Amino acid sequence: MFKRSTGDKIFDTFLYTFLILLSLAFLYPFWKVLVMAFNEANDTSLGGALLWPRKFTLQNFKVVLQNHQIYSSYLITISRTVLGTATTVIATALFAYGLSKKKLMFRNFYLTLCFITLFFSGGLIPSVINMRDLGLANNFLVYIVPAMYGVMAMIIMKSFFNSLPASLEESAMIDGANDFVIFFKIVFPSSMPVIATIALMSAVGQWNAWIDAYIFISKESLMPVQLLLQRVIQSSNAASEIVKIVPNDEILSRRVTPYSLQLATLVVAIGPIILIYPFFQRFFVKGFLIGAVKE
Amino acid sequence: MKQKKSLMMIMAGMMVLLSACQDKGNQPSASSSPSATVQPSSSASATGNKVSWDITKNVDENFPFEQYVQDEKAKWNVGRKVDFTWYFNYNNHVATKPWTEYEALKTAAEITGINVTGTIPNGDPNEKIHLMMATNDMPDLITLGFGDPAGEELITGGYVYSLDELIDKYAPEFKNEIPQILRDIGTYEDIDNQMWSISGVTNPDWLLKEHKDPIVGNFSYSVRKDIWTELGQPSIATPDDLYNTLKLFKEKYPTIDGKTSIGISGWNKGDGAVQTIGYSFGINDNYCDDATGVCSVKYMNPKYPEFIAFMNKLFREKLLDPEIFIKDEQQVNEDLATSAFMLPYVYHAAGPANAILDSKKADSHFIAIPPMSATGKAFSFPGQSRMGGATQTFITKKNKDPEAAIKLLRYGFSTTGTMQISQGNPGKHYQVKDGVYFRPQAEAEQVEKDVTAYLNKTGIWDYYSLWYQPMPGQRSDSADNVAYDIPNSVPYAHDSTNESYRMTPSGTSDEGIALTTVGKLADNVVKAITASTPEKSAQIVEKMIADMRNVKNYSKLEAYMTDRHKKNVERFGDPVY
Repeated sequence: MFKRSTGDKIFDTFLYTFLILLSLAFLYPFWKVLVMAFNEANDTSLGGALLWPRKFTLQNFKVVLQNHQIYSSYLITISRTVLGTATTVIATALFAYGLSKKKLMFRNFYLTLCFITLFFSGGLIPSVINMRDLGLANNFLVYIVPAMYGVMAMIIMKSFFNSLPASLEESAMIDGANDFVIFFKIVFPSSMPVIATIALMSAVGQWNAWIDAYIFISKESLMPVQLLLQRVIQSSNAASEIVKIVPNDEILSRRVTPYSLQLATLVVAIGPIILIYPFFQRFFVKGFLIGAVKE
Repeated sequence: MKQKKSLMMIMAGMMVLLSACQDKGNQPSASSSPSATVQPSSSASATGNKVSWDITKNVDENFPFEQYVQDEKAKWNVGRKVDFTWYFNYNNHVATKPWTEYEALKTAAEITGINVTGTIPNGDPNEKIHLMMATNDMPDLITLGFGDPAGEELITGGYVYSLDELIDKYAPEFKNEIPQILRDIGTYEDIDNQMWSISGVTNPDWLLKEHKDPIVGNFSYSVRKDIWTELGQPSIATPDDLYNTLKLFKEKYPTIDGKTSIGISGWNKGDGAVQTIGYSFGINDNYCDDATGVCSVKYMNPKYPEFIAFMNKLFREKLLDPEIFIKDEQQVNEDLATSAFMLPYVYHAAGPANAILDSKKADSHFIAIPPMSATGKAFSFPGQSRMGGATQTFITKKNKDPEAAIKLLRYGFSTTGTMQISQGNPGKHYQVKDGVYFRPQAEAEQVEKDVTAYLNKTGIWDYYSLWYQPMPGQRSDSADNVAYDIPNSVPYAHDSTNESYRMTPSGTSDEGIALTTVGKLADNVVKAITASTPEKSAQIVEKMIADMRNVKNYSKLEAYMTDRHKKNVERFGDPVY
């Protein structure tokens, strides 16, 4: 049996200490945001509220949640997350399944086209023109259609489909199933690990996405919560979004400050995904290992 | 600069909204009143059962609003349903719902038959406007900040109509109604001498010359009132006075509330953090040599090395916040609420800290005091451009109905239209007595209670791109005026029209690229101020200025600025009121 030397123990101690400190360094900014979001705005302005709210309050959240825009933005974000995830999974899975078949005509050509997009993009201006001409500017579908297919997700799915035993499909074919029946009744249900991985990746991406709204959306009714957050964060004391969404008497009476509202909005915007993420993180790890180990 | 412009626009907006203008006994003469030039007539004739009304004379709670709407519709309605999108190239435009969803703007929509929906950039306005141009993804109308170089790009790129062209075609009467100052500002004489844009918030001649409306400045030297009083209210009139005052402060207050005290606080990128002190050295946003008439970037000002040497001295002696160039607004707000003594910056920047300071100790908030002058002459900060206004509005070639658009502008700059859009429904949102408009008590109380909610409900004052003040407004001292000691900053500001109007070349031109390169070299200002010795500081400044002169096309930039300034002087005269 391997016996750990003193050197090993010292090294492990050092390693664990280092990793704990590193984890704290990553976690602390989130914690500080929480502390200040739950601290009285005036007290936060005095500085020094570092580890725990000195004067606990829910006022910042009360003000943020009074703003009707946050609800409509949440609705947009939830809608795009649910619809976007579902369509991405189905469309990418279909595409990846097709490409997993070696008999597919022009398969290498399709794959080459896909790989090119991994290295080169169309650029901002052509993308804007393209979306506008497709009628997707200022349209909810701009969150759904361009995100329906991703090369990375396709590669992960394709690798998984390749690892499924060919006999599964052959027996279904003998029973008279066509390609769609095989896909939806046999392959798709058998691929839940990879489906979960891609769904999680897509959901996180959709929840956090703001750049598409930033570029293509000017209607406030279509603004997702992350864009609202971006606007609030960039807003200053003097004007703009924070004044627009916050009752001025709250600001004037200093029950809240623009900074305290920024922090509360930040918590409201990223809170759900941060709470959910740890429970699904294993799928992420699993997903990237799919097809990576050959036996 | 952007922040300054934004603050100036906000302030101008709030000032007019809150009617902080003139006293009652000082009204414009009929000959110079814009109502005589802009507007055909705001009175309906008293024929049959029609009730007469004239919003320039008297409007009270019995104002015949229905009649007014009918009369105005007859005059301004385009006769069809039109929907416009109107893009504002700045983030502080609030009314982004359709006009029909605001109390005051709904009436304007009913009168004109035009429903407008405002849009704003989601992020950087400069990026957004250039993306719109690159993709030709244009709204019906565009409003830029005053003097925005993107205006020239819109014109030369063929994205917008000449207003003259549309006026000739669809509303020839409008030509004679437009005041000369608006025509001057909107005309691009170096392109084709046509009027391409129309300015909002330009101060009418009568307001400037007959009323002598005092200009309001943004910049000030704000100090903690309690500490300043404790120190014996020392003057900071000269650099030596300022230095001695800061030394005295640091000696008496090495720490405040257990924190190391800060003499001068502030924030911004690069030399923007100390820009206010630069103004005291006569270093304005651009430099024009009085003797030769040559204009160039501010770093060429002969006083610039002296300014940097002074700042370096303050830095070395720890009188300037050592982290002034890296702190963000929130960090500075913390300092102001705890350990800082002086903030040479826009006076309202201390606002968030003032409430906290006063809640801890009565009368400990920041107040503006007479500023330092290092020029040996009477000194003033660049104030608003009252002749230029705050905005420039264009009609794009993607406009669905250019005829309706030009008629909308005509309505917007008429006496009734500008009042309707910026002040609201006559009788309800504003009333007029003896030719002076004011907010009725019930409305004023709503404004006082929550100005944002009031603006969101009514839509008032957000389309100040269509504001041209037609009559005096009643002064009302708002809480902000009192709290921020505005009167203390009034004597130290001058109209900046000549210094600012289109002095920044288009970013894509040779001159614009040269200016960008100069701006990058200006990062050395921070190194110079934070240098360990005066010699090193001077060397850095000397090299920086030499490098700037060697920037490719710098001479073209200088020629552009010189030419532009010369034109500004010819066009606007000497705008000191």
